Amino acid sequence: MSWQRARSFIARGGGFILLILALVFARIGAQNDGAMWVAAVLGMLSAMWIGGAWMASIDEAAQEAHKWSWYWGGSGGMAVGGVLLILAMTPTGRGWTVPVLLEPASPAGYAATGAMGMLLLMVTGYLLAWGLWWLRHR
Amino acid sequence: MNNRLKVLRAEHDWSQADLAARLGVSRQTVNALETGRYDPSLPLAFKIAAVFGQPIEAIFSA
Repeated sequence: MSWQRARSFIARGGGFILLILALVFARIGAQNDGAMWVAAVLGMLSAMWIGGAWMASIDEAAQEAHKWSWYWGGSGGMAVGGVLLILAMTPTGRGWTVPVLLEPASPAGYAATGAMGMLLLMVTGYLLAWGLWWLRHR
Repeated sequence: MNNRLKVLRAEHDWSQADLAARLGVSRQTVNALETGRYDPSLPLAFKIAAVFGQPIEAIFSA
């Protein structure tokens, strides 16, 4: 295999190899906390790798749409989350009840719920902005 | 920015998909370029000029 082909294979397949390794470690991680750490890190690395390879494969207008959407949509979603975050730290938020992602309720569960909530708002903003970009540029 | 992409494409009797394949972009991108709703990067502008065999300034104008 030439270096050119090997490089192309690594660029395309590397993320999936990391993903498979992550799944293997996740299976081991059911009994081993250390393995679950490795699985989580490998899983996110594979997501970054696959995302990077996919981003490199699309044309410049599509790349621009995603960059614009992540900046404005993601930032807009984060701003909405920021309002909720600020209110949660004031007397207004004391009466709020928040569903917990992980049962039983624990500080880590509440942190995960907050992180997931912010992520959902950012992704929602991103998707709306992405649709808007294409509506304006089609 | 204005451009003569649609005219040049018609002269060559190419569809948007044909031009997209020659430029290595999607048909949606060619459409966005033709309608003036998306300004290409300099590398893409050079590629467009090369595909039509014309200088950039003969295709794009401010």
